Amino acid sequence: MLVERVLVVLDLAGCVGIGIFASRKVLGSRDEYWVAGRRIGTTVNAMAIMASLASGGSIIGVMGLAYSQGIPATLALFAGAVLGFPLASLLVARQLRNFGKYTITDFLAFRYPHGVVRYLVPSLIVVAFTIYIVAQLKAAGITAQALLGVPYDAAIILATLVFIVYVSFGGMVAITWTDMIQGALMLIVVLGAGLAMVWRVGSPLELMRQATEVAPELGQVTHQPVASYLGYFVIWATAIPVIPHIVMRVSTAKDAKSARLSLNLAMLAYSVMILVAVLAVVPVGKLHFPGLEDADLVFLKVMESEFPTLIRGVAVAAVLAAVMSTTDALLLACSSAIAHDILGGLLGDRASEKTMAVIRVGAAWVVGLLALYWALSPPDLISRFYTAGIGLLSASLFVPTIAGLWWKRANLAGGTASLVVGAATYILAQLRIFDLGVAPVVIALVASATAMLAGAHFGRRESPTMLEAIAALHE
Amino acid sequence: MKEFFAMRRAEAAALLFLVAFSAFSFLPVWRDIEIGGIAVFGWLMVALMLISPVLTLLVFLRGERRE
Repeated sequence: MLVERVLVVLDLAGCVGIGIFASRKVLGSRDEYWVAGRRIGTTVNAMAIMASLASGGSIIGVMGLAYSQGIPATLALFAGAVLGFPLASLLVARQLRNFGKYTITDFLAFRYPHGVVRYLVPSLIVVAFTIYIVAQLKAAGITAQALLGVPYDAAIILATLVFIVYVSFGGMVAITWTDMIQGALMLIVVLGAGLAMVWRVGSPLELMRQATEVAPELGQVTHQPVASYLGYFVIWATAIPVIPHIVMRVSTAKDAKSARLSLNLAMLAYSVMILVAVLAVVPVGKLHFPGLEDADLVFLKVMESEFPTLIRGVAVAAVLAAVMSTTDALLLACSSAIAHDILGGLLGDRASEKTMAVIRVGAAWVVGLLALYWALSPPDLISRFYTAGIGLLSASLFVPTIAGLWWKRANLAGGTASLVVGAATYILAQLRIFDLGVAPVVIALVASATAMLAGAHFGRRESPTMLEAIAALHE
Repeated sequence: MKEFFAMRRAEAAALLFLVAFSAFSFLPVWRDIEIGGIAVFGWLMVALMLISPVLTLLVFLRGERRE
């Protein structure tokens, strides 16, 4: 385990170093801190977007899920995110980059200027993302315990302190560079492992044939109800265009074209990584380790049996990189919801740039330490809750954002109603206060769209000034 | 359609195609038929994951050339 530990320590030290180096530039400027001065190039941004989305779940989880639930249902979950990228690229990237602010709250509060929107949106983000961060920290702790022999508590305390330091002091600049390196590491490890597996057998189809002959359930989906994976598909497809850590990345691009191209390239890289993991690594795992009790270990078991120590060490670093690259982006987005959206909105121009810098750093520490507190004794089902948290954001933000950008009749009443009704319906459906036999996110999106239509019908028409401002975002 | 802000025709077509392809993929019939040991639904998801990025990239590059 020495090689693995050394590589992980080097990775963590590198992140802290980048954070401290970046802090000299970013602490005094809002633009630098939240959106890296809006000068991130296309390739770097694409890799950072891919890394932000590819959490521990995208490396360990996707393979574990395919191993236990079969390939088709697993791909349905991740294809939702892949479909979400074109939606983001075609429906929001140009407009939000042209808008030129920092967060999704900035846009929604501008489009629907009401206190409910200004404070409900960041509150939903804080709730959903804190759950997401706790789930990621738990994944980091379990991974470090299993792979490095480090106790769970010690692992997450160390990991959290590292995240907090480089996110709070280095802002978006530090996150972009660490995510780019971590994204490249993930891509190289998964593609390298997959290609090596295929090379040995001859072709991916032959590999799949051998695996499904031994374990036919790998290719089947009939044992699963459609609703079980349709809901996840819809959640991720509708989340990507509005999810705060992706929207913030759109704002870091140097222009609207670069923002859209970054999303397209990120989608390509993410898609290829998931397909290689599921179609090349999982079949080998099923052939060589047919009875794994913990399916999430399949990737590491394959790496252990097929590759030498150094490459195994790089694979462990890649898994932790996947966890870290998502958690840091979530932490920044969550602290932006508190420091920029809520406190910035309350203080307005009364706070000096220095005060705001202290608030920015403080918000990251508060969110990070709170998440750490929960992660030390996490609820049992936290890993399942995080997708529900993302579903809450999809259900509440998707309709008002897309309608606000594209539908001329979207107005204050419709936007506010669709936000509140989408969130409330999703929560009630998740708690099974009512159950229509359809995925909660589908019911909530329909309810949100209906509320938008009703608001547009009964409310006051939008002013020509607002419509002109929105039209300008499309140019 | 005057109620909506204009979208480029190629972009709208790509968007509609991807949404229609997704809906088509989720038809229950594809769960029962298998090709090469994998349910057709699985292959359709593979296709969606490849077609989505490539199609969107092509539409973007075409739009850039026109500009």
